Amino acid sequence: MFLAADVAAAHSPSALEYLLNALKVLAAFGAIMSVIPFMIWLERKVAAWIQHRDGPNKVGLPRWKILGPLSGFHMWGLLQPLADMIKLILKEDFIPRRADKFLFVIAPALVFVPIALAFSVIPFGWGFHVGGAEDGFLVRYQIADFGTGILFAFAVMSMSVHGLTLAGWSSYNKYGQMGSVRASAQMISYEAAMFMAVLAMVMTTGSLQLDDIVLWQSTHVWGILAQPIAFVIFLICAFAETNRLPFDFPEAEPELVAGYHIEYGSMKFAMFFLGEYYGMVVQSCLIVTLFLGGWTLPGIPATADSFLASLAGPLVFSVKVMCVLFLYVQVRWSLPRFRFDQLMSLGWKRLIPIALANLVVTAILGVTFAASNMR
Amino acid sequence: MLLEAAETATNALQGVVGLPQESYRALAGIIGNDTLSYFAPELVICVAMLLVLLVDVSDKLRSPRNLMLVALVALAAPALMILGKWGGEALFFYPAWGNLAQYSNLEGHISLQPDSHMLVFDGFANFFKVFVLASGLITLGMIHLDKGTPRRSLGEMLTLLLGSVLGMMLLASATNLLMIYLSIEFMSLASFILVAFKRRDRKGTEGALKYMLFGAVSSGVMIYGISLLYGMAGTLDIALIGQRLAQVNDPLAIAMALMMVTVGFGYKMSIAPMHFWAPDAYEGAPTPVTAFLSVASKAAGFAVFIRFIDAMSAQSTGNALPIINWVSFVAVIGAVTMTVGNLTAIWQPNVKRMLAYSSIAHAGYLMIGAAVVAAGGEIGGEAGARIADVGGSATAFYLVAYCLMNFGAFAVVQVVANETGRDDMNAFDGLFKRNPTLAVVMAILLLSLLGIPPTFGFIGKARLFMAGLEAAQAGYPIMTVLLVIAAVNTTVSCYYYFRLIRGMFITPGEAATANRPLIVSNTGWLMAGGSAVLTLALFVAGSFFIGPADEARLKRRPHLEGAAMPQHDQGHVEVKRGDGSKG
Amino acid sequence: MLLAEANTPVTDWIYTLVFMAVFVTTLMAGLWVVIARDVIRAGVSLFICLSGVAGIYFFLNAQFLAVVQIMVYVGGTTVLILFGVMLTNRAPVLTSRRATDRTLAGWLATVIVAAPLFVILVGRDLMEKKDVKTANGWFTMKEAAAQAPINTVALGDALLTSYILPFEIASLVLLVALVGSAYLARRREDESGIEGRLS
Repeated sequence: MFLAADVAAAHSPSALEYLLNALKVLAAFGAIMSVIPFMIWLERKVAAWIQHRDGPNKVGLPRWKILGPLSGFHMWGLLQPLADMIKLILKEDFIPRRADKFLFVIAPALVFVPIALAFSVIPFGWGFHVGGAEDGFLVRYQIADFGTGILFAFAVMSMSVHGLTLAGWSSYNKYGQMGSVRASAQMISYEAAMFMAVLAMVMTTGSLQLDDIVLWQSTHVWGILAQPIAFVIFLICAFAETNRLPFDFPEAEPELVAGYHIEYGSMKFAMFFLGEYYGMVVQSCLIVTLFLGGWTLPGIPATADSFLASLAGPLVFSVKVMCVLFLYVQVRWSLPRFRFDQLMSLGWKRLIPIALANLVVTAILGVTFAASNMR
Repeated sequence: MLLEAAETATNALQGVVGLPQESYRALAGIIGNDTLSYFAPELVICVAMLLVLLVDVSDKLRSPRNLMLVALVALAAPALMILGKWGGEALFFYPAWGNLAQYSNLEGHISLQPDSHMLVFDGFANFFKVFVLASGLITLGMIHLDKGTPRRSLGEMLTLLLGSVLGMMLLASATNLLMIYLSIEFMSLASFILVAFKRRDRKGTEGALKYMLFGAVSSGVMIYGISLLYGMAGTLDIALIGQRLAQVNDPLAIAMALMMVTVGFGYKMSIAPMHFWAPDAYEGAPTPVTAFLSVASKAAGFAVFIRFIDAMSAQSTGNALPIINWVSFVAVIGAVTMTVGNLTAIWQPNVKRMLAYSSIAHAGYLMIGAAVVAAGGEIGGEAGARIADVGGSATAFYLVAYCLMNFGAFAVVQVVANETGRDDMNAFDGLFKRNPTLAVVMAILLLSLLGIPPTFGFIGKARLFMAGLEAAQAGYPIMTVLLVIAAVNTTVSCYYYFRLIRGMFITPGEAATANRPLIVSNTGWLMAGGSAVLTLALFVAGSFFIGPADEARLKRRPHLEGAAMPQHDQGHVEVKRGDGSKG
Repeated sequence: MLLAEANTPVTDWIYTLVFMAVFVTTLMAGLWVVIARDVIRAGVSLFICLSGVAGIYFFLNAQFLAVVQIMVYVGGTTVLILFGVMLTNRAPVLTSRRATDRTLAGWLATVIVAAPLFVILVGRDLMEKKDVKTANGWFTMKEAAAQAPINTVALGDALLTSYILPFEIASLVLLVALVGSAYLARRREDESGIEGRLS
């Protein structure tokens, strides 16, 4: 079709860009997928620690002679997630007889894919320069540098509601449906407040581009200091968005057995499971990027672009993300669950008004102390 | 450290103290720009909408009287404000808010587009705004008369009514397709809910649903047309579109786009074949809403349609648009509409449905005016402008007559429905026995709708026909055909108007109630009797309205550079009209 | 460097392929919305269709519009539609009854509208193998790009200056819609009896 060819002639990126982007996608995806098992292990360990148990401590290296002194080493149970995964893969993959098969099968993907997409705009470092001074170019530690990156991240993440809704609906199970209705109601309710919190930060920094926001923080102050209220609101909403305790109504074991994924087993369940943890990681990345200075750290140059110096960025970024993830885990095991009406009234009657007030105050201050920090 | 902190604090203080000054300057920039005073009537309604909502939630203030009072002021004050500017200078409304930008830190980033103005305040818009506001006021009276509106929902009803009026006012002065679309959606959204206002009523729900589905489809089609127009002209301003389309050599696309946009307007005017929603919506809606929709909504539709035709015709473009022959197009639609309306009205057993179809037929008659405007636009020049203005003012004039008689007729329907709880034809049987005056009032109103001499409706129709004749003499034989069809249609409409009159005067009523007098409240007499008296009185003093209706003229924009064919430029600046020479 | 050069046949090919994939998916999903009998499935295809439209906006380099499309329509409206269907519908699967007697008329109307549009927008270009629209004097994309710089800052400025009136009116439209829907959805006990009449 020559029409598409016309468009292609005008916009299409070079082959190198394709290649680099493919590599970046693989690297980022691989990194997160390898963090998640560790995350699961961490979750169990912290839970055990808080509850005075040992947690996973058996699954380690096999008793093979080649491993020498390490043979049979328990490794503090680090390989437990691996065992879990094998278990999940080997389980029977079933579809309930009266389920809507098509929707039942795509629902887990609809949860997982949007969240994974959202990661594409997050800068996990500045980048490094390849080639000479003139003909070289900067390889960014970011998959897609959007003019509207932050909007994209949230817009795409809001798409995962569909997956939850359809999962409950298509399984033909009342608990499932209850769970999915709760999940969507919760996510829709908290998106509003979350977005207003982000907007306050966008107003402060004057950009919708995530790397601009990070650079603003490196030259001014971290978002957590510039917008403390927005940070708290965002944090609370991030918990709600990922359906974690204290907001885990969609799954609420005592009431709903397992909520929207009650009928799911094997790899389809694993997809939900991964989606939840992936969501946590992405939310943590967003928190770090928006409020904790992203890849920058006072004392480390933010935009160093030699290869070695640039590696500091991703390192700092991952340490920060790990800290936030730890907070997630700790909160899960120390707080009880809200009641559903409390959740709704917290969202609509407290967070949204506070976020709105914060936004208005930010706007007034922004206009008053004009130009310096706007654009 | 300390010094820095002190400096920051001082700066902050200055910022805070400086703020009022800054905002004062910004405010002065807005208010000092007197274009905003033209927009004041709309602003009053905006404020009133919120005020009604606030009064409605306040336990102390909340009473039907207060709500009605707010709405009354909200409709009367803007009407007076506009009448104060009657015949004054016309104005294209550039967003005065642009001034605000230079006081903010956005300076230097502003590029006001030359086609960015959205509204025009000319005599034409003024006429339709006052018309809509007056219809709103009469509707308030009918709401007062209506026993079916529960007191608790009055706040919502008035908010929606005001919203709808605001949408129609914006539509009357919109010159930008974006604005036109938004206003249409505005008035439609409010009217959908007004139609469904009796929530448990099946007919109301059905009517509202049909109304909404039709509305959704037609605005979808309209948006498609708009996007085609934008694709060709690269602007949303209708005057510029007209001028640029003259340079686009793509008749098929232009015809398609203009037809699609017309669908959106036609739905509001309820012309065939976009009229299917009307009978159901009119029947199901509370009677005040029906009356309001059948008059104000239709008028707003005609306002925008005529403005659109005018902008898209040679008069404005300086060049005939290829393929679209507005005169024939409008004439054919008009003929079909009046025929469909009248022929279907004959079979209706329900008075509200009958009046609904009659209102469709009237939309057909009004199309004569629109066709005259189109003819004038096509002729172009001084003569064409005159003809176009004759068409516009005849339409305006007829709408005044139509407003009076239609509201009056619906008021009588309301009075009868209050008493009997029914609105079918049989409910009117023997009305003469039960309340002779009311029967006579209804008869006068029906005769006026029919257009028989001792009534204002006759003058309205006569002016419309005269305008049509003028266009016919200017070389449009199709206008003659249209007038003949209109005359035949008037004869057809005798049947159903006289059927109701016969029912009232000759057919005996139901035995149980035949001799019980039908009591009419003061409001009822004011509404029904008042319009009947006015209908008669204005037959004699009809010329009273001719002057004001003549002020209902379109203000056309002089051609912008680069937008139009250069050789036509000068001629058209001279023909600039509607700038108030007539006071 | 060969790799860094734009518009090699391979990259064009990849680009075109992705574009066509998005395009075809959008069209198919749109069609499925209309012909699906299960309302939930129609909702899901609406979701796919609207996402596809957002994808096309991305291809047109209208990033802000694309993102707003996802946020408002994909993340907001369709969720509410699905929600509405799930919460109001008691039967497990809601199927729309097909009005068989109107199918022909429906297709006829579709063709009458769609055929000229197809000819206008694509057909002539395909047959004459050139851009007929520009040749006929249509406003071109190039002019559009020159007229309006496409970035978020410019968009924000335009919304708050040239287009502030529609922008504000839109908020009033939403207010009216909100009041109206709150009224229609209000609980029934409010209406109990015909207390308090007017006049």
